[in-house]
Amino acid sequence: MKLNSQIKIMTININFKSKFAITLIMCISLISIIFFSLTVGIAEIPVSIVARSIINVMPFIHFDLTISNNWEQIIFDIRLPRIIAAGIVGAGLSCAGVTYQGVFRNHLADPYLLGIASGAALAVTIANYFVPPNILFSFLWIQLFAFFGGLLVICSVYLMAFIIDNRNFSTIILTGIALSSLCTSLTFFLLMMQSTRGLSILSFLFGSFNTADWNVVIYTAPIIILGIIFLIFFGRTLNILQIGPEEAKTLGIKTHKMNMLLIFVASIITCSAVALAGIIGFVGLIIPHLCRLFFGNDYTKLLMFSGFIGAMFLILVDDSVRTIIAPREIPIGAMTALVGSPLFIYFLFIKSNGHDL
Amino acid sequence: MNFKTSLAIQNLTLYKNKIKILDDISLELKEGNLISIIGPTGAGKTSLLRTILQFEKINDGSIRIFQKDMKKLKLNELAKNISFVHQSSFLPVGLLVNKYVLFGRNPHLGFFDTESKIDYKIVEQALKKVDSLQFIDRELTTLSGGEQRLIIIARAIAQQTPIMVLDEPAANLDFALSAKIMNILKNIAVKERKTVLIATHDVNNAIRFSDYMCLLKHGRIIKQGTPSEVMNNENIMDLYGASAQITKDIDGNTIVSTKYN
Repeated sequence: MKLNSQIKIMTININFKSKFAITLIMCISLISIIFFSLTVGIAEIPVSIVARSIINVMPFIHFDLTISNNWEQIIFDIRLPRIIAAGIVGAGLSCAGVTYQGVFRNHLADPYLLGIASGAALAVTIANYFVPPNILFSFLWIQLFAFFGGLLVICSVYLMAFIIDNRNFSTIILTGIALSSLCTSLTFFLLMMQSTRGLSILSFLFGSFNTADWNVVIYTAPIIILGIIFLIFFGRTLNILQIGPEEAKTLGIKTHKMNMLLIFVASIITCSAVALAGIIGFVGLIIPHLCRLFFGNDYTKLLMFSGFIGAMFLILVDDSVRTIIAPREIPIGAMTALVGSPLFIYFLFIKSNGHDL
Repeated sequence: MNFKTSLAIQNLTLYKNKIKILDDISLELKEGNLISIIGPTGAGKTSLLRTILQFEKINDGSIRIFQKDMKKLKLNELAKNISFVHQSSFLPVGLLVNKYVLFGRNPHLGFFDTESKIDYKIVEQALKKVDSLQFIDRELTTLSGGEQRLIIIARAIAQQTPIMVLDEPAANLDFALSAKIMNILKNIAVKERKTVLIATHDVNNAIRFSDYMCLLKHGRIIKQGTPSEVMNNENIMDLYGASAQITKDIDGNTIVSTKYN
């Protein structure tokens, strides 16, 4: 028996180490993907130039490296904010997807299921009527509108489901789908009517990062990153919620309050993502599932790793969007599905044993 | 026997949709005892357990845990005092047995705590008590129904509560395994001075392993006492509406069987 317990403790250590190793690998691959992405685009910038310009901005290192101003501007003012934006939106949507799946105990839930994104999108479209594009904090206003729209939708979904059927799961989904389509069609109307200004329908309904600059990233990144960290702390709670609301309650978890809190945080993340990049489908569903296939169903792991993988995935997809038919861009939502679906089905084939969807 | 009272239910009344489910129930549970609630289906056994776990709002009466009013306990405090095994638990796919049993440690962990070696040790001990240590690294859903039931009981044991409540812990299992489960529960009650409260349909096992029995019908307790006090033809006729034949086997265990003409 003593031997047995020793073996046990050893496996725990190995688990800890492998978790650390995976996190390290993820960090390294994320950084290299960011570096790679800085080199691709309409203007082909050689790798050596990117490396040199990065060394140039590092503190305490002074090499006398002269790089053309033009390239430096492209790297730091155009590409870097856009890459960071893609990364945090990818991470945010994936983590929000994981959270919704956990709260609703259904692996088919995603950030757009309950109409949060559609509500936020409608609010952003309305905001584009009222907020002049060049005033101070204009993006902050748009983001506030997005929060308001998204939370209004989720609250009304919850309230209606409560009145109709006392929060039955399928009633929540059904009211969510109904409100979601309502918001989407209203968004279409508004976008069709405003032909002169602002957003193009495609860049909004299928997502795009071409508006992302430092102003936008500064408002969005803290919210999404803090939201993800917050959710990771609730990994254990999410795990226990999987065994059902009543039994979770006997384990000391305030089931109802926790569900509300987690949905709220995931919705804030989703709304920020929508305000930044429009509606990018599929990421919030496919990335969590990929992570489930490889790392199992533990929610702490799922949240951490799907954050990383979501970020990498969306950065790479954005690279392809920028380059394939340059100087024009493909809507990123179309591209995520185009790349993601075959990839996802492939992974399902090679590793589907023992995991349900 | 000078065991302390752990759970005291007084004049408990419960309505659901204006229908009286539980009617003026008074019951005292003692430490170190295995208490079974028996009764026909619809008698209110599950409702009584659910009320004790605060899933239902009490209309009248009170429940006290170690002299403290239950309503004043926080949820986490409650989870440190009572553990619960559901009639049919939902088990997530892909979850490992030791992770599942570890859930039982949740009430003892703070928000920022992670499970320590001590918690893993407790998980091992709990699995040992239900004789399932060999399943520790298996996926829960790959086990058979009976094995799963043992693991769920191990989760409740790992919670280390003075009171354990189990809703039909041995239902739908073969007769050897149901006796084994009852024996495990009896051992826990006696050796660790815990209060184990179960609802069951299995009258014979209830008689054999319980210290105290409670006969529930139409939401009322019609009799309560030690098995030898309450198990007679008259009470069984009252409870189930069927005449029974009470015999003893060679070891002296009481056997109840139905009698039809």
